[in-house]
Amino acid sequence: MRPLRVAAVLALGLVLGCFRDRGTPPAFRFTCESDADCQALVDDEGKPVVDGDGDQYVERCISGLCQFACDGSVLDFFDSMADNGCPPDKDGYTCFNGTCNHMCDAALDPSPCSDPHRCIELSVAFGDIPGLDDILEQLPQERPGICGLLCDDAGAPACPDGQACVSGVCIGFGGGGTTGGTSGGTDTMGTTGP
Amino acid sequence: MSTPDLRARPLGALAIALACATTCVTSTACAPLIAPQRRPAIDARLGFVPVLASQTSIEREAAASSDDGGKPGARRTTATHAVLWTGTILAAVGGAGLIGFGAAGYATERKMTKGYESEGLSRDELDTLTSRGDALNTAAIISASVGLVGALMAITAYGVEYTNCGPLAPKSRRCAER
Repeated sequence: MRPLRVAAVLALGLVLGCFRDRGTPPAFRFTCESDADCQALVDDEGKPVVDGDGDQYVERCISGLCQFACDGSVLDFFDSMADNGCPPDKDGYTCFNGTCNHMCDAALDPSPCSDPHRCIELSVAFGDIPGLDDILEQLPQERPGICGLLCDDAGAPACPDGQACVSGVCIGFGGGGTTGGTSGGTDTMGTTGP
Repeated sequence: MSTPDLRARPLGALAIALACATTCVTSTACAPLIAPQRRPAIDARLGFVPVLASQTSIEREAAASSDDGGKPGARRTTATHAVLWTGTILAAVGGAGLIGFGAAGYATERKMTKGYESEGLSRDELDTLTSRGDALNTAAIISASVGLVGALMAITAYGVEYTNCGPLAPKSRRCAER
């Protein structure tokens, strides 16, 4: 039996010990020092992903992380048809405080967000919106949140044009509260994530 | 001739298992390789029966003739031993490489996970870690292959030794009684 145990341990070690690339988590953002450290978005076949105007989505170095800038409002979270400037993504981007971010679970430790981002609970981001609790209960996360920085945090990027920082959240006061949100058919409703 | 005891080694035990699936050659073939310390006791018992005692004498002569240096039997034994020890060394080197490269690959993966979870990671660092991990995986697979080939060589050679009641076979086999 001893040789079999040795062989079993070696086989198990081979399976567990080898290097495996599990892929980049959705909420992870690469660190950077300049825009040159970031990349343009390509699909699985390596082809560039472009927006409605034919422009390629290109990351920028914002707050030390490679991120896509956007000009939509966080309120677009409730409008799956809103075009907030974020690229399409199977894990769902939401424009929050000028950058495209992913949903997260604030109950997770360690946080799935990349430092200096943190998981900001939606109940904090949205405040007292009627019916918010019903919507949040439908989400898979225990404490649904969104990765990012409050706009009054140190090092946070400025709010997009036409938006103002109110209690840490960039809010647009024109166009029914969704500044920059025009109908474009892009699904930006973030319902998944770590 | 010294008889190293391989029973304590897993490889040796594996060889025993393999050899158990085979059939021992005739007693005539086994006789020349009787363990020296067992021979006097057997002869003492067989000495009471002249016929059996004479057979033992024949076996002794056969053993003496096969022990001569430069004969085909001696060359075959030397070749078997060479294959056995070469296989053992290859298995050891391959096993050590597999463990070493596997551990290095695991450490690379842990570093990548730490980067994702807390320490941060740039695209250049990710590319470096991915390339390193892939290279370590390749090295681990090659090591495993070398170790497997070595183990098969050693097991096969040991099986031949065991089947032929060679000096490396375990003493409990009682080749003289077959």
